[in-house]
Amino acid sequence: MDALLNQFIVEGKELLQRVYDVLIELEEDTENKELLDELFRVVHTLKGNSGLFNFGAMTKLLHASEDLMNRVREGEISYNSDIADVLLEAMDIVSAMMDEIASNETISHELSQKAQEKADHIRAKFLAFKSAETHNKEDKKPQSSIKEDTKPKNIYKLNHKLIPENIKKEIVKAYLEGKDITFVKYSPEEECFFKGEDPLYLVRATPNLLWARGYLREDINAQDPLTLDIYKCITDFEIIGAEDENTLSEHFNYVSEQVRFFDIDALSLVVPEGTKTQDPMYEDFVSSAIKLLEENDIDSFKKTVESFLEWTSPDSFAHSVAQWLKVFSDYLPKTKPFVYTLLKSIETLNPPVFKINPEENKLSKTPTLSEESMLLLKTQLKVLENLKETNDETFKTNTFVSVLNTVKNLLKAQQQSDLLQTFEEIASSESIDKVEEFIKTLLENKQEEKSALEKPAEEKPEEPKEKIDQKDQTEKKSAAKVLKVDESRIDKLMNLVGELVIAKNSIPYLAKKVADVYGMTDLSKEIKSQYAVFNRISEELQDAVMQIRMVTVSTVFQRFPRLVRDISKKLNKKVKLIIEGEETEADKDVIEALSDPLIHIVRNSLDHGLEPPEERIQKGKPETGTIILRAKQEGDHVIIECEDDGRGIDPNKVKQKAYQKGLISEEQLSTMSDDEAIKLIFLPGFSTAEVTTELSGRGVGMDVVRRAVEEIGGSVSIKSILGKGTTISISLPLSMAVSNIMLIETAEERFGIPIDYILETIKISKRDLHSINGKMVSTVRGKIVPFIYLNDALDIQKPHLTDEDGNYLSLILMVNKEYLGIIVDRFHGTADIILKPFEGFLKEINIFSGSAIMGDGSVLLVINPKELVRWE
Amino acid sequence: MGIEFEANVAKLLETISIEEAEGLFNWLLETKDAKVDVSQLDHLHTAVFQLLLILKPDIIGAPQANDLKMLLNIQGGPYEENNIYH
Repeated sequence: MDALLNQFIVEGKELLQRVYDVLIELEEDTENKELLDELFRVVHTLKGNSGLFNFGAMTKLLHASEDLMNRVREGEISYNSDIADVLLEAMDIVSAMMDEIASNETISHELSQKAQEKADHIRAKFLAFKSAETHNKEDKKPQSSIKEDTKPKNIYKLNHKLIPENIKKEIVKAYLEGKDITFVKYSPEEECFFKGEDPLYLVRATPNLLWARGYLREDINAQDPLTLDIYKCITDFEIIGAEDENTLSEHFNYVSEQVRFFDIDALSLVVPEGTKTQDPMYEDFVSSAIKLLEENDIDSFKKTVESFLEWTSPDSFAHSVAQWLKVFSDYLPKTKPFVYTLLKSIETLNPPVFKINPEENKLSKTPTLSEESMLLLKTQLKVLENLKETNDETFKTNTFVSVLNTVKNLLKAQQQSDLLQTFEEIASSESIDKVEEFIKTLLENKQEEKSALEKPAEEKPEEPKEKIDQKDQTEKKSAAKVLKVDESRIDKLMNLVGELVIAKNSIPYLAKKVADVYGMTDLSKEIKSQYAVFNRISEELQDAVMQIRMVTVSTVFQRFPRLVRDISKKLNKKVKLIIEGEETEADKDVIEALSDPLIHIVRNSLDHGLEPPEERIQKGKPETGTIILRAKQEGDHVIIECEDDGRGIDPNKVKQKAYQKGLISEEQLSTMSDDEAIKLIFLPGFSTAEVTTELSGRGVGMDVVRRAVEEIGGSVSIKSILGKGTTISISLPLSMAVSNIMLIETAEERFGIPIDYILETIKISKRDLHSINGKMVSTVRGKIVPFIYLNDALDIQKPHLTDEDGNYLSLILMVNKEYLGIIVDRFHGTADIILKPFEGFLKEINIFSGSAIMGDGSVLLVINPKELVRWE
Repeated sequence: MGIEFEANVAKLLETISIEEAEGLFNWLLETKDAKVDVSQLDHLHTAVFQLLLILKPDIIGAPQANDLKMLLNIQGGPYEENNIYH
């Protein structure tokens, strides 16, 4: 394939992953400008790249997505889960197209079609996202009906007398709430009735209709009624809706040539009326009202207005103004200037004259510190917190000074002179704590002033501090130089190193031969000492290559936010996913093998573990369930955990089911402990789910998971507390490649047993072997240990060799925390091997975990001790 | 559905379609001191609405729907008559 195209695919996949990540991050933080910008940029880059290679369908789809993202980041549409869904779907299609390009260098017609449909869908939805319902007309219009940014609208000169007072108040309220107010003039054509239209119906169905009136557009008074054509439409409509023009034009799409849109000056509707009488009480009211306003005592202000309304005559002008005061006071403090104007109007008995900043035709929030400043303040806060940990005084002082300067400059730039003054006083105290306090208060105040809707109360469990630190570290790491290498090249390197390790193993044999067969002991010694050097270097080489193959767990973890999101949506459950320790590393094969079992485990949690929100609330749990995916290193193992705070596993239920299925005996049913009972879920053919869902299927799950994990040399364990939750732990070796084995011999055949399992070797006499219930046991240092003859396990019909004293040679193994004695013929020392697992139908021979090529070229079969235990 | 005519009161029931326009029109021309009862009105076709604008019978009762109240001017208030034309 063309190298450039290859590059496109590699980069494209990375960009796509970034898009996925950001889309999901955004759902938690829908107003985050940075994320929105980044998303837009990434999609834009993707689009540009696709254009270079003439993948038209992909470009179109990306273009539509980019346009949508642009609208969102401009604030015209607010990001919500519908937008997330549609973008995720679009990216899935793009990803599928990349896959096709990777294999065929083109995109199939089918997929192009799909992309086109999705692009059209996004374009149509641009407008739909702004209104809950669109008018019920067929959607087969040409998709070019997107309006470009509208030309500035004219202000309609409203005759406010046409609007009833209470409706005026509704309109002004909507305006104060920051809603778009659009005025529509609808002039249906004369023959519209013959087209089956009912303009009145369309008017009444206007989304968020505030006011409407219909009137005759012709003077028919002079006309003789008998000559009237009642089927000619001569009625016009004026409409005010709390919607933006785009939504309304969508509503009136079919009659677009017959409507015109205007802005209105909502405040021009504030026209108090009534008898104007002077009254000294007015002055008192106004001055106390102003005082309360200055003190920001909004509640008392409202009460004062109420009582004013009570004792003023309903016919009076002042009463009318006060009614407007009531409306405006609901939106304090941002309506302060208007309230002042109204109060003045009571004083002067003149109609209120509102001044609005001509640049804003919407009510703006009180000037706050910009987003960037808040971010800057947050980082300064972090720096200060970290400062407290340092001991280096010079460093401390210098950093503190720079923080002070940063904040000062920030306040200056934001023209917050009052805050600046206050801060300078605090700064002079030179107390880190005081500065911290100040910054914290700043951040809190500014966040309160934001009029965002409260997010549904999701419990945010405390994020461990290590997470922040580790994140900083990984960011530093990625800043270091990184090389992108083709995976196949690394594999080749690893194979060569493997062969080198094996080849070097032959040298000790040769050295021995030199001494024994050729009698050159000096030469033999020299060879052995050189071998030691050789050995050390090749082992280091092997380690180095293994290090290259180390990847972080995040490659597996990164798909889970999306998975959890999609599945929890499907199941109507609220779930929060927390990921810990994703920079933990392990060999890439191990990580890859981890992927499927982990998906299954997480799905299980989502499906069976976590309860639906109502049930959780009933149980007194937080509505949103939590799943924690955790990775950590312990010695030469990597531990991956999936912890949920769901139902937990009921040991009794499990026992019952196992018994019913004949998997355990009655005796086991009564004697089994709870911990053991829970482990029964690993048995093949087990499932307590009443209804198998399309997600988790039948109980093949845990058994398959365990096998898959054990195949790569790992183990699975499970802990659960009924009602509280379940934790499933997977332990994996850091690397799969080289194993240290002990060579044993039986019936003149050699086998290997992994050293990890071997506790000790002992001689055991026939007399010490006893038979209990058909099983052979013996006592080793006070413990009862079951024994087996290796020949029996391997189906070799020969008795084992004994020494002169009639003793057997045996290995004591520790498998799954249990002892097992294996009787063998002879030991032959240990060796390092590269275990090659069986493939094809050799895989079914479970007793062996694979084979290895020895230094002398012979093939060694390596026994899987776990199978020996089962066989027993 | 439809219009019930009784003496000088035309009761508009539920939804009045364009087909009823002619009947109402004729009745309004013939009837003295015609009154139109809209208390049970859910919707009326524009043509019927237009008739009310043109012939201006007295409206009695009030429909349930607020927007209909607004359109039929059944709120009282300091505003001019509906029949304003450009």
